[in-house]
Amino acid sequence: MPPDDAAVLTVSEVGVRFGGVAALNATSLTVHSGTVTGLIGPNGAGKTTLFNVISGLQSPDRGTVSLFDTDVTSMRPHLRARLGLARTFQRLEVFGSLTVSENVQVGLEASGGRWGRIGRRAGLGSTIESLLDRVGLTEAGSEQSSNLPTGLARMVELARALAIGPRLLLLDEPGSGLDESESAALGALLTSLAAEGMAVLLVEHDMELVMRICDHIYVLDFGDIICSGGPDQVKGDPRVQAAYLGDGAPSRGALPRGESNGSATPVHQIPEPDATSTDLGHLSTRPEGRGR
Amino acid sequence: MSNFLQYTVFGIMLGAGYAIAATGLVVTYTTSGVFNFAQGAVGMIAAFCYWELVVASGLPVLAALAVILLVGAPLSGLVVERVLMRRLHGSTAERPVMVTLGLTVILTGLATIVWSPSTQRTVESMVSGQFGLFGINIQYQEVLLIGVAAVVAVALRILFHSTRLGHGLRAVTDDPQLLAMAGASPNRMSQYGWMLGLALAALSGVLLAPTQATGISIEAVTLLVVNGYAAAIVGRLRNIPVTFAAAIGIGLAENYVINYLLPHLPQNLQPDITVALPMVFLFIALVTVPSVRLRAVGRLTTARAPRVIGGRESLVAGVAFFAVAAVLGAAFNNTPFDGTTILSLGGVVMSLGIVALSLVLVIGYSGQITLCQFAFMGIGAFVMGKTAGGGSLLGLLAATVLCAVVGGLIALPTIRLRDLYLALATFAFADAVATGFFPDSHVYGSGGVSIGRIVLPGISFGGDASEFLMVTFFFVLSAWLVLAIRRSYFGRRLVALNDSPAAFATVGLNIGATKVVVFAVGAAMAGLAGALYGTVQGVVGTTDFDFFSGLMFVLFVTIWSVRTVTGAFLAALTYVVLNQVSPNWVGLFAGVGIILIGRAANGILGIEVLRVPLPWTKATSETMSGEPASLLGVGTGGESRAAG
Ligand SMILES: Nc1ncnc2c1ncn2[C@@H]1O[C@H](COP(=O)(O)OP(=O)(O)OP(=O)(O)O)[C@@H](O)[C@H]1O
Ligand SMILES: [Mg+2]
Repeated sequence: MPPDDAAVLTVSEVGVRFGGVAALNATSLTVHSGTVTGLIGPNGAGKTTLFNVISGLQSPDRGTVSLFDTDVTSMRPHLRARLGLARTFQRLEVFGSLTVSENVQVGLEASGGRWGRIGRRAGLGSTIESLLDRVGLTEAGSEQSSNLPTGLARMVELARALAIGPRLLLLDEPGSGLDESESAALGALLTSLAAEGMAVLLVEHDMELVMRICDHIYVLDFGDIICSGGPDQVKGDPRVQAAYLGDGAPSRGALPRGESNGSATPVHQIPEPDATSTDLGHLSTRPEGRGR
Repeated sequence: MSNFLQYTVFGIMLGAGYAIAATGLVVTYTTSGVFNFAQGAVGMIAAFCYWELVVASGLPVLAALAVILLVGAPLSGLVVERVLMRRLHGSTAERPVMVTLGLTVILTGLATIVWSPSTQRTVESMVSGQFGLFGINIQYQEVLLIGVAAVVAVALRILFHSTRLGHGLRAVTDDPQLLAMAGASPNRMSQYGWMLGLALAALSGVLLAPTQATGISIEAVTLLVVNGYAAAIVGRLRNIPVTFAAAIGIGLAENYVINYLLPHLPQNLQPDITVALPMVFLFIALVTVPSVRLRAVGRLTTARAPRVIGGRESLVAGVAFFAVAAVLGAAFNNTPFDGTTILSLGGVVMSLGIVALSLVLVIGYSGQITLCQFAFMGIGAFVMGKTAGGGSLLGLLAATVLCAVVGGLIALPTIRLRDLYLALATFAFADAVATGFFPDSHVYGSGGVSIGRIVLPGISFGGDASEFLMVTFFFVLSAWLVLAIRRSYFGRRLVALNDSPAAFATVGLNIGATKVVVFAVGAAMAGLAGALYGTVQGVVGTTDFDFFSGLMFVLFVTIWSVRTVTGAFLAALTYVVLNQVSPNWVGLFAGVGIILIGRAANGILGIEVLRVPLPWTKATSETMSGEPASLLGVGTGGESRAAG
């Protein structure tokens, strides 16, 4: 990582407890503009919790978060967004009764300020279109967004996040629900966003994708950053292997951690947790039977 | 000193009664995720059944208790869960609220039919006698009540924390899917929860009945149990020991306020404060208890969103609607009907229609559950009557503006409250206003306030038809406004807030500000509606803005469809017509309606087979197939989502 890059996000010593469970212990990390930073770790490691702390949906018990050189630890979520932070969610949070373009439009209008929308009304339609093009939703603009399959709904969230013109983008498992070629397209998009100067922090279980596009990777396990570095460095680290294979580490609560059959699977071949995990986060992305 | 002791013992006893009801609420909430607004009504029904069995039929006390607590209440819980609640789990927040509120109004309505309020019914203590202690007299009944509450608390504690069943019961709201994976059935747990919850409601009703020295009244017993709501809120709807302690605290506070504080207040305020006290406690509990954090819950709107009506279409429909109203106005000018006139009933429909439109805006679009629109209506009518001698356009303006301000002020302390908590806060505000403020002799008192008809220089609205058309004009204007809001930037914001507060905040939108604005606009509309209602009726009083009627009306709107303007109009129309025919029909409609709410997310108008495609309706996303073409160039696999 080039040291001259300004850090857009600095998380230092953040701790979060839920009842008796420590979801994060003194976690620290830094994200620089113009890079894709990976945040990986087994189920229940605390990745989503860290995203919630950064975006203001969860206040940390200790530690600080600073965005673009401003301490935001106790700032409300919408004010952080106005500083240039955008995110997507692991459990879908699309505006389901709005159409796909309206989802993006809300993002554009939110960032345009109260009166900004009037100035950009003329260009609004084309701005929405180009954002939808970018995430591969060209033809879906008029679709009610709750009618979309999971993978595409994630892309709606991504387009909406891009609409606010963020300097830092947090993506929580954007690749789940996408097939191979779709996730290749996603990888290319993220790389190009970084090339434009955006900072991307990516949580993803698709190791192949993470290893390919990330400049820097942090590995979180049981709320601790156990290792960080470039893709090759992380891939080879024995602690990472151990964390993923769960070598006798106590299982957390009722949520099984990835695969724990003890076979020597290399990190980058770890199966998609979607297929095997009983994690509720994944279940919840399938809305059948919910919310009826 | 002995007075103080006496008040304390009585306070603890009342608190023990509330505690039983409150723990019942906690049990149902933790097992089914539904806050049972009907807890008070169930307690009331149990108290009246007890009177019926023991006093009227001469059954032994124990037999009556067995019938009510071991058979009647659990059986009702079973039926309620199976018929009304089962499909509500995880649905939008307003539906469970509406169903249990509906149950409340239906049960109180039924009770009024079965047990005529004109008869006095006193329930004697189950155990008679008293004993002296530290110079005060303690009734055995008081000891019994406190003892039963203690036994209930301990038993529930053991049930929840030391039995397998208890762990299952607790797991349901935490994560039903997790529970399902562990092999237990969330439905079964929720069924047990409802049976136990209603049995506890009945127990509290039966035990509190003898405390009503002047006899049990439907409204009083229902609202007595409501004291338990505040306690359950303090216990965050899950902590039974805290709930229990809070209930005792509320019982004590109530007694101390009534006996020590009240005598120092003006005479005419005393009864108002006494009746409003439970709601004041509830409101305080809600705005002071730490709020539930904003969380990304991943809840998805699976129902199809109603079509967004275009600008031209809404204009054309509005003009057409007004034209039809004008024809009807000419045809029925000054036609008497059933003690009133047809057009005056029509005016009532239109003014209530405006209230319903405010509900579309606040509940339907933005998802903020408000139950206090009738209170704003009453305030609006009062302001209208008191401004410039009544019957002036200035009054309409004053009513609208003042209600906007009050609405915004109510929203301020409740900004951080979500869903159910907001519903409870507005519930408390509505009841406090209806029972504590309106009956005051300075407000409506017993005589009511005369509003007078609007007189414009040159044009007289004295005639029947012109009055009707003026109110219709305001209805059409409001409908156009609501639809215009939906199409606007602000409307998209409201819908977005409803769909996902977490995403709303993280794209940079201010939840608090949005809520205050939508509340203020909704209150302003209700205030305007109240003022217009006043001019139609001439004289209005407390009964026009009755608390239970207000709940019934919200229910009607939800049954028809709280997300469409058509639903708002049909709700107002059926509400007025059925009320004119007989209140029993209102109850029947509501009864069938609450069964329907669990099955049709968007009310009657949301049911697919009933949708008639209108000739001028353009094809929109809702009429397209739910399966979009593959967009990233590759098939989407089996993941596609079934629509609504
Ligand atoms: N709201 C909450 N209440 C209680 N515990 C929670 C809450 N949110 C998360 N946890 C717990 O905190 C820990 C970290 O969860 P988190 O969702 O951050 O993990 P994650 O790394 O995102 O996992 P996954 O890969 O499954 O998404 C888990 O043990 C989880 O059960
Ligand atoms: Mg996660």
